[in-house]
Amino acid sequence: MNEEDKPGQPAPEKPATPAAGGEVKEAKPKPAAAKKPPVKKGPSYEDLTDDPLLKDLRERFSGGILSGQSFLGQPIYTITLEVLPDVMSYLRDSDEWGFNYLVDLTCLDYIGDEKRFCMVYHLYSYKSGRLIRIKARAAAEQMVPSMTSLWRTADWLEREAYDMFGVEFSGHPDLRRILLPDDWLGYPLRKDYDIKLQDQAWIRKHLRIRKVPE
Amino acid sequence: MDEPTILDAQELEINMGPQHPATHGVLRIKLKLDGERVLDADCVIGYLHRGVEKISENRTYTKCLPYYDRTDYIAAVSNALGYVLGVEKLMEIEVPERAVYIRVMMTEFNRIASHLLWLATHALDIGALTVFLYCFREREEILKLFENLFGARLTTHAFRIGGLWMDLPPGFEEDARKFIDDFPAKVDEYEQLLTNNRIWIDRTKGIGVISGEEAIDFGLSGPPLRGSGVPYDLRRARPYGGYDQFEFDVPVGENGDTYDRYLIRLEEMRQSRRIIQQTLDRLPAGPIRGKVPRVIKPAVGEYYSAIEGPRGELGYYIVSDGSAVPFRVRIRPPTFINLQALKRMVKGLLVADVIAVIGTLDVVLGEIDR
Repeated sequence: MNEEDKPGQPAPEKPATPAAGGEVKEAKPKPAAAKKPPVKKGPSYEDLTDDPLLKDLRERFSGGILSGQSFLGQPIYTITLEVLPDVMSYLRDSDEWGFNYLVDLTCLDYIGDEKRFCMVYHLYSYKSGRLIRIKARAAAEQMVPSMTSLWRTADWLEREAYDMFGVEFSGHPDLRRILLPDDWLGYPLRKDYDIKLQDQAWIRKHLRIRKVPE
Repeated sequence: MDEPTILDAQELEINMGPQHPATHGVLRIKLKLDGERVLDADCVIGYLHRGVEKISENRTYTKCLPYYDRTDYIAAVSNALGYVLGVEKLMEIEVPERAVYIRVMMTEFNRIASHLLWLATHALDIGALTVFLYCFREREEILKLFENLFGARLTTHAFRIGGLWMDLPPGFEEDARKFIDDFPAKVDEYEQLLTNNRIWIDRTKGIGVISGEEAIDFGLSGPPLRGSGVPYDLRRARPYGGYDQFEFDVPVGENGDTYDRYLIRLEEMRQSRRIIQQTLDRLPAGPIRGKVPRVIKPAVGEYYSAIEGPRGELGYYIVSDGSAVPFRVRIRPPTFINLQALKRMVKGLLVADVIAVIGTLDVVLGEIDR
């Protein structure tokens, strides 16, 4: 994940820029990044070495699986958007894994990156008691495949991601805003939406406040 | 004869809420009715949206904390626990044993208080007024304990990153003990009023049934999931915050109806009491706050910290970019996801049962809308 923070650099815990910080690298992990520097403070991303799930996924979806890492013991699998529906339905339905509980679905905005949005899925398996995180990057105008056919939970969660980030989901039966009014302008959780920003036209129209703060 | 008579059923769409006493906040449900039968229900939410997740991205890790009290204001203590555990993981802060115990104790008190409020309003909605008064009597005692320790009754700002703000005040343990000694008799009292009550059974048995598979499909958690026979409790499944040191049972229902969920919540109150008993008996001495840096600045990383709140799985997905401000805090709200199942649960029921189902899902709109 943060390959640029791996050994070879003098200050690994030095904060990177927000955009690059949690960036999901498309490239394969560097082979040289094996041992930690001794002065390293705080937890760090570690590559999953012999993780059976990662092995299985790599065998089945080869190029679609970009990386497998863990942070503070929580495994993270980064995959491409193209294989996302297949991987998810495999994870849910296979007898071996049985990740049948979609815990959460959300989005991160890495503004300035080529693939701006990072979809984050948390899956839990009642069978094995494992919690995993799946990540897939999407460009700003790219459609993300909907998970509503796999889990009914995804319905509102995707509507919320659409409402807050403007990510559109292909195959969603009823994609409209959920928390904000239908005619609101803009997507508040995007990084370029300032916290003080409001849809002034909406406020003037619906709340009849003529003088709105700048 | 195709001339319509006055008795002909007609589809009718009505608004329930947003200002309706039984919706526990500002929830609007668009009901499609055929006479008294519900054909469809569409929830309209967002009236209480305050953008807590956006605010979090503009505050330091410490300053975020009071905002989470105001999401699920009935369970402010639990909310704080989920977040501080996540930040402590990212910062690798050790929390002293005494603070861990006090946290567990207060969180369980909060669970009881939350379930009491649920029982009070749920019974009130269905028409049992007395229970309301009884439950508030006990809840008041817990709120007094909160006020004594945290300085506030509702928005408690309970825990701090690394431990607690203050140690237990003098006399607190005695008050707590007195409450848990009296409490089992009080729960029996509620049971006497309701469990075998003919009207209560008629209004709750077989109402809002959801099967285990469907509950998983909808991602339900908390009592609505356990009521359908899935024994999933995060305190057991993925222990956090020292819960592995305490003994308790996870009650599970069979039929997945409103009545089972009622029994489960009552039993959960008893189990919470059991946990509090253990914390009081084994409360260690020592400091209440670990070593915490002045500026909370976690390394680049991410952590999903989830707890079993009174309403289900409450998760905080915290992403750090290495600065003193979170890159993103995603709150996984249990009732937002549980409410989604309402549409499915009320289909075919009567309008009056919709009230019972809203009650049994135990929704808190402050958390749904955030």
